Amino acid sequence: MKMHASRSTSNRRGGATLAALVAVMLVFGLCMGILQVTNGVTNRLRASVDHKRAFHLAEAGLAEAYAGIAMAKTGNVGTPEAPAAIGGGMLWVEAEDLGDGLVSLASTAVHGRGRATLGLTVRRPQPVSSSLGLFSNRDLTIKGNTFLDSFNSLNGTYADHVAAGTNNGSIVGTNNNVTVHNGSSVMGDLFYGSDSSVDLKHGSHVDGAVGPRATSATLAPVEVPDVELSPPLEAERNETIVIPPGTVGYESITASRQGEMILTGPLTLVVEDFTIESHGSLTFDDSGGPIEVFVTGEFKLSAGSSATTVSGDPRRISIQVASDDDHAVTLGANAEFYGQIYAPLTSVKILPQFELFGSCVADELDITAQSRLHFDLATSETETQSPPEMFAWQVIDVPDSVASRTSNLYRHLEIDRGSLATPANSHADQELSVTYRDAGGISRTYTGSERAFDWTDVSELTTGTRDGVRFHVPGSSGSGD
Amino acid sequence: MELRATPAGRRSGVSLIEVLIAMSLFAVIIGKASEVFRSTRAVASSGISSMMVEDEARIVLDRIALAVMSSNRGSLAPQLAPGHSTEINFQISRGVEAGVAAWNDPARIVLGGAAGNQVQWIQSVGLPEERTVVWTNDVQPLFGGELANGLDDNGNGLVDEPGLSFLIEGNKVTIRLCLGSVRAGVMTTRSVETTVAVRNHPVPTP
Repeated sequence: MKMHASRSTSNRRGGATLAALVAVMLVFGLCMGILQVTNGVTNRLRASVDHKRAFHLAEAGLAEAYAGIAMAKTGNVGTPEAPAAIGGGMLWVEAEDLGDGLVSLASTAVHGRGRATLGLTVRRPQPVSSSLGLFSNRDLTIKGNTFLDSFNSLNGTYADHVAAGTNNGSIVGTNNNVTVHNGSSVMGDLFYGSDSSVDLKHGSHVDGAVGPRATSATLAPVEVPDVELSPPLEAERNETIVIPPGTVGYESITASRQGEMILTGPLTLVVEDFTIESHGSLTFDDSGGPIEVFVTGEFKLSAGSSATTVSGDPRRISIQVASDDDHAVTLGANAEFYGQIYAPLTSVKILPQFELFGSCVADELDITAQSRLHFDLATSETETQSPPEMFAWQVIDVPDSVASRTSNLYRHLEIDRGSLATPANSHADQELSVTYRDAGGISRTYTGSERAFDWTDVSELTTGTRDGVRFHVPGSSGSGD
Repeated sequence: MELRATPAGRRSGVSLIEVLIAMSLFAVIIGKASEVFRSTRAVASSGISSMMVEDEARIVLDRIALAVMSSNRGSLAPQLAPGHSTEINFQISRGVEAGVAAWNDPARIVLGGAAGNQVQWIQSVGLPEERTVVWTNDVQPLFGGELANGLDDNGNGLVDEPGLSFLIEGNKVTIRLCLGSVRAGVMTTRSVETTVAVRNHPVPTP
């Protein structure tokens, strides 16, 4: 076979291909240019959207921490190493205690390339005074053979609770050291100051949790109604004086030996000094309404006197002492007293013949040996607890460790996205103490790490504390999570 | 089998007519392609320009919104509702110091500049260390859809509102911003607005 190829033909070959190639390259270059510009704008828009999402996630983190603080949680949600996952991003909230009940929250959120950190300073809710149970601001010494327990007057009498074995929800606490002497029993939780200690003597018994408080409890001052004071009132020997319902004030009230004083509710009584002498008697007739007694001086129920409450409902009688004198309150009457005692600036001395059913919160609680005090859980459940107070919301700088990472933060932190918990399940672990009913209606108690507790077992919560602070659930009759 | 090359005078190839047809077709294709490219480029440019303006508007709006959200409700002024203002005075939270809320020096965001086209952030208003930062130079004389005719043309309840306006109602502040820029001889404007709640010391809502 012979082949004859002309030189001119070989020279022409490839010209069209070359032209087509140039045209294709031109179009390709233009397309790439447009694509690059469009990508640039898209990336900017995506970054803007990511930033907005991160901002909203940071706000969600603050909301979660705020809700937690309202329920006695610490405010810490997740950590930079183990953040909480939500909405395609992640967040963590770091809480710092500033003292005086103030907590500074810093919520950092990451979504895509977006980063945001928001700050919020809140004041922890002031605990309802009676929710502190049996509380002493100063050192608390529970002397020998003292018995402290609880009941809930909304669910039955004290005797009912003892019979059912549900008298173990007491809350006993202090902002300082606590000592429990031989033979004493605390049927419930015992909490001491965050920087203080507990001394459980041999032979003492605490049925619930024993631990430090997360924060010191602040006792609000007594707000005494502005009532004009009448001259002193004294029930002399064999005399009975009845103070009728209304709002009244006296410079002093005294029931002398064999004298009798009867307070009739509904009554608001303001008095400087209130004294029932030995063999005198005092009756709180709260059958017609609640009785509130405000004392600016001394309140003394002398040993050998007697006191009676009519309704047996501790929520209907309160004695609030505004005095800051030393040892301004002495409760030595022979009594089964159903009521609440609040003396934030002075000491309260309770003698063994004065059996208290209710609550007692004082600057110093002096419980003498062989006393019996029974905390009524209902006294705090029926009061409304205020939410945390917001002080300052601000946009703060994103931490350097996060701001400088524009690449995949999950990869950088070696975080498995699938392993992250939701914000609600990322709160810092705390010492939890709860009394509850399970699905079968059986009353149970739990004391220990909250992380180890299965909340799905709870059908009805009776009481609950976190690090010694009782928590309430809005809209529920009980407290809990 | 033998293949024989044709003589040079009768070589097969393209005739002049074929060349002309090819060139014509090529010219038509190139022309159409260039037309498509031009129009695509114009659309892309317009879209990009629009996005750039909107991007800038959103960034400025977000800055203003964050400043307003961080402020103390009691410091917000002027309160002209239902009227609007071209400036807003406020104090931003600095957190809590010594147990009390601390606030930065008074600040102001205002529609300013010689041509009235700037969003200015003025720090430490009235103090020796006062300084002004310009956030944008592209504010339009009027908000989108509005004409200077004494009427509420865009139906937002405000009459002849300028390119930056503030409306304070309770704990909420509505911020309206209209930016515009000229690219390739084409004016592009974007109007954005947002309503934010003041986070610090809100007044009780009825």
